Amino acid sequence: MLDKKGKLAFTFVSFILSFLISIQVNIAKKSPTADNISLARANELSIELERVKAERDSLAETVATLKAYKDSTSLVNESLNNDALLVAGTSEVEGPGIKVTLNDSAKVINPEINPNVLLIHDEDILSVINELFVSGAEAISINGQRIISTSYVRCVGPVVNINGTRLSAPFIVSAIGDPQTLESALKIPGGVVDNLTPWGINISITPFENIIIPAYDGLYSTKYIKRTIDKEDK
Amino acid sequence: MVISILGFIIGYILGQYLNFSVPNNYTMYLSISTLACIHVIFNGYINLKMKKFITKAFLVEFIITILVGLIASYIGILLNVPLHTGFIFVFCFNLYRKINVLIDFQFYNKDTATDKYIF
Repeated sequence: MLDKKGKLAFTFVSFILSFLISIQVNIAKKSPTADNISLARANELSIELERVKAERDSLAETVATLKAYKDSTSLVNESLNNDALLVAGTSEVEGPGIKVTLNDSAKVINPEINPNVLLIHDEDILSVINELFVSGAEAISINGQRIISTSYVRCVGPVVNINGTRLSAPFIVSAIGDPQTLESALKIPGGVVDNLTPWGINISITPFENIIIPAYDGLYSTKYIKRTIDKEDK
Repeated sequence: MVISILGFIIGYILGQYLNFSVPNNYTMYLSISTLACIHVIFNGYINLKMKKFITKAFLVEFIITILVGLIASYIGILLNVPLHTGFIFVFCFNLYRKINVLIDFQFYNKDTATDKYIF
């Protein structure tokens, strides 16, 4: 049989045991079922939380770096965008300039003369455009077709194809730039006007204080071109 | 025996009355302690039946069993190894073994029961 100390010891341990069970019962009552996740799961979630926190901090740093980079380059980009848009021909522009009207020769066709020389050809228009650009023209259009970096001028039978649109004489070349310089460049001795007038090609140059040149209204289609900066980023 | 049951009842009522709240992270330690208590009580009861009960040994076993269980579980958490699961398994396994021994002791051969206990 148990002595007194033994009984007390048993009572004490029983008391502790029931006390612990009682606390656990209380906890189980208070915790909703959804919160009774296993400890292993809690540990997993804790590790996942730490990982996500680290990832968030890393991304926040990246965002801060990119924001700083954006702020430093925004002014440059803004000025670049404005100039680039004007020159690219994506918007209607206006300014002082000249209008050059080119018309076929009115000379009577003579069997001794090649009739082709009496007509305006793509090379005549290209020489006018080239001379105007050289003289500082900032925007050029031909019969409303804006000349952009991918524009082409090509004779197709009796008409001239510009930006995929068939145009016929008279060709009105509008150019924005210094009117006096542009006019002088065309009329320079041995220049475009001198080369065409002997064949009876009608060329008239009219300076204007304000000319409106429309935006390029064709399609932009690229297949091979890529920005090198995009390649570097990758 | 009656006084032990009384201690059990008082402990339970006190636990309910005091309304302790333990954070979720520590409930594992509570479970380990509870199982250790059951383990010690069964051990003590078997020793009593075999007339080998020593009060000091009983109390020392109680304290050491709980401490070892708690410390091992804590180390398991630090090492990210579920050591507490092993302890729960051992305590539960021993509990069934002790019940078996007690039944043997009560209804069958006392010698067989002693052998089982030694194993």
